[in-house]
Amino acid sequence: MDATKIECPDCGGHKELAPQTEIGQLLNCADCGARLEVLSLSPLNIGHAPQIEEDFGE
Amino acid sequence: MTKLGLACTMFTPENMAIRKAAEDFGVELTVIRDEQEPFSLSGDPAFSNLNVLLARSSSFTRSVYLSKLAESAGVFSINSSSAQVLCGDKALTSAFLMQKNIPTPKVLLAFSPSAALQAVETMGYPCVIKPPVGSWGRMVCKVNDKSAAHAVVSLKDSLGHYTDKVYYVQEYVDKPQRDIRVFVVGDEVQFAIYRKITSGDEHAFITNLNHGGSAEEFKLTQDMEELVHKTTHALGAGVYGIDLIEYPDGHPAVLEVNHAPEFSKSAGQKMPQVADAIIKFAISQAKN
Repeated sequence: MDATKIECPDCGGHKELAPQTEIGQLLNCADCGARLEVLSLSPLNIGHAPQIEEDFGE
Repeated sequence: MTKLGLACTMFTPENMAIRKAAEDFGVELTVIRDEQEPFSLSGDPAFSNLNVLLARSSSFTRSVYLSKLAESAGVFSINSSSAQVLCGDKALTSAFLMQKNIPTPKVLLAFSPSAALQAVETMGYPCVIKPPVGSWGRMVCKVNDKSAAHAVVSLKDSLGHYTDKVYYVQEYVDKPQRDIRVFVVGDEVQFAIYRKITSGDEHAFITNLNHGGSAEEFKLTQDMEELVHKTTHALGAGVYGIDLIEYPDGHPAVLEVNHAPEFSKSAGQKMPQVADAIIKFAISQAKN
């Protein structure tokens, strides 16, 4: 991984990623609660996780 | 060799565990992210190289479509599109269970506010109004009296989605502050848990773990085990989260069946074992 710190695309809050973080992993921004997803590790790229829709569930 | 596809919306903890289990078993896994590419209705390359698909989209609608496309390409889908259609719609699930003589709470279905109010009066108070499609306890309303019935029905009538105009009115079962989730892979029970209401609120009745319910593992009674096997047998072997409810006299009934059950909160320490069982089941189906 090139970097271990991410910046929340919503609030700009910073978060340290755990070393075993994987592509696709879901994260919650500790500052604003935004649901984020690790899109790539090298380079490190974070985006919004898919939005929850009405038919989401089990 | 098993060529497995994992259709998903995102990498939930369950999908991460499944991906890890596939690696451990040396299974070639292709991840199909449902939002990231378009799909051709015949011969889509996403499916042409697979022999089994694990349909685990977070969205019921997408999961059914992707399973159907996979099945059209000769790929075995877990679960089958037909089982998903039944399980993803509470009205169809209830009708299916009744048709198979599997005990399940009584339900009336209505398609207009006036018919819904008649259904509520027929069912008696309290009763439960649920959306036919949906999960995690969303929009599940216990209706205690006539004024609550009018409030829920008029609220649903004002909403815009066509499923909001379907009124699924279910008998209220005075359960012992818990219900039961049974996780089945193939025809084998992986674990069973009580989902307990822990809020301390005597009016709370939703046990879903996403609503703060707590999980406690327990051993199924013989009655419950028979009910689970009968349900699985009727739907076809697959991966199911079967929810049971206990009547005050103790007899169990099937409340609903989840077609892409989550297990990160319910399986606890058994999460890797459950993921392994899913992969082993997928391998067994690839060979059939």
